[in-house]
Amino acid sequence: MKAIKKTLVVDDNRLPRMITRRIFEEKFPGVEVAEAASADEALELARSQGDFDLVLLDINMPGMTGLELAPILVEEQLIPQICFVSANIQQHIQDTADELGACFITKPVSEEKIVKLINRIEGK
Amino acid sequence: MRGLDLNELQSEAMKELFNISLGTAADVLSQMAGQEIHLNVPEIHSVRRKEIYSIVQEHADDTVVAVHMCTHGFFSGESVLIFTERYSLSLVKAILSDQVPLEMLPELEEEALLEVGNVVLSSCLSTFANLLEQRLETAIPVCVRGTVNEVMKEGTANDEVIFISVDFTHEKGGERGYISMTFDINSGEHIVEAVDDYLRRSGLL
Repeated sequence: MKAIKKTLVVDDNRLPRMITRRIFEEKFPGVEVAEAASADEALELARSQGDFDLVLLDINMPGMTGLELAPILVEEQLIPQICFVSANIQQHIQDTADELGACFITKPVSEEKIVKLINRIEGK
Repeated sequence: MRGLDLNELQSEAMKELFNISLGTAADVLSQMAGQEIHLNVPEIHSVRRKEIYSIVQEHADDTVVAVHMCTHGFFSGESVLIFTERYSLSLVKAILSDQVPLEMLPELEEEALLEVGNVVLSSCLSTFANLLEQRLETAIPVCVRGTVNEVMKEGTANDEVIFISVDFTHEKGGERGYISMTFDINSGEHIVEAVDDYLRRSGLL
């Protein structure tokens, strides 16, 4: 499995973005973290920078939702690993994640959840 | 429950479904606050909007924080999480103190409250939908402050509202909050049908 070097955190609320960034800085200081406050901004970053290994993607956002952005990221092969981050645990959301080959972690984000996720992606 | 026309068994089922759903919400709230928080449902009322005042006498004059979230799907309407400003501030402090520099607390308070509302309502409503094997879309939450009557003033006096008292308890005490669910005219029927299906799957009908 490829090591995670650059991650994009997408959430319209600043708080979960800040918490996620802090966790990465403490547990994975070698990983570069970029933030986007909307799906449109995330898409623009993914297209312009093109070197993200992982996107942590909120679902419920104004404008384009995370569920709408994910298929575009897959179709255009912009970010290889997608992980939805949401408190919405409905079965159809988890089924969509499975269909897209995406992971799913429940809000709130925590150190334990992020560490588990990265270790699983990196095959540790 | 009068407005929803639920019989005793359906009413008990609703209370149980909300208790389970709030259990999920309590778990995420505990994770956010870094302390164990229990959410219990002592009462569920199905009332007209104008009757809410009589239920919230205890907090009628308090300034409350309300996070509104619109829903579409097997029921369409609006869910609102309401707790006192005092309790919301202690929650925000608990959530933010280990996460962000102290000087940023005031600046982040509003976003923290929105995230609390988002996470609590989303986890509660999505668990409720999962238990009933139904689908529900949730919109972006909005946060407002005022008295209970002020934050619940949208809509008409005769709207049917499921009004749930929620006891937030933690190791140092507790607080009563509320969740209200207003739904459109067709949704009441859908909720009752979904509860009956749940009872059938459980072998109780």
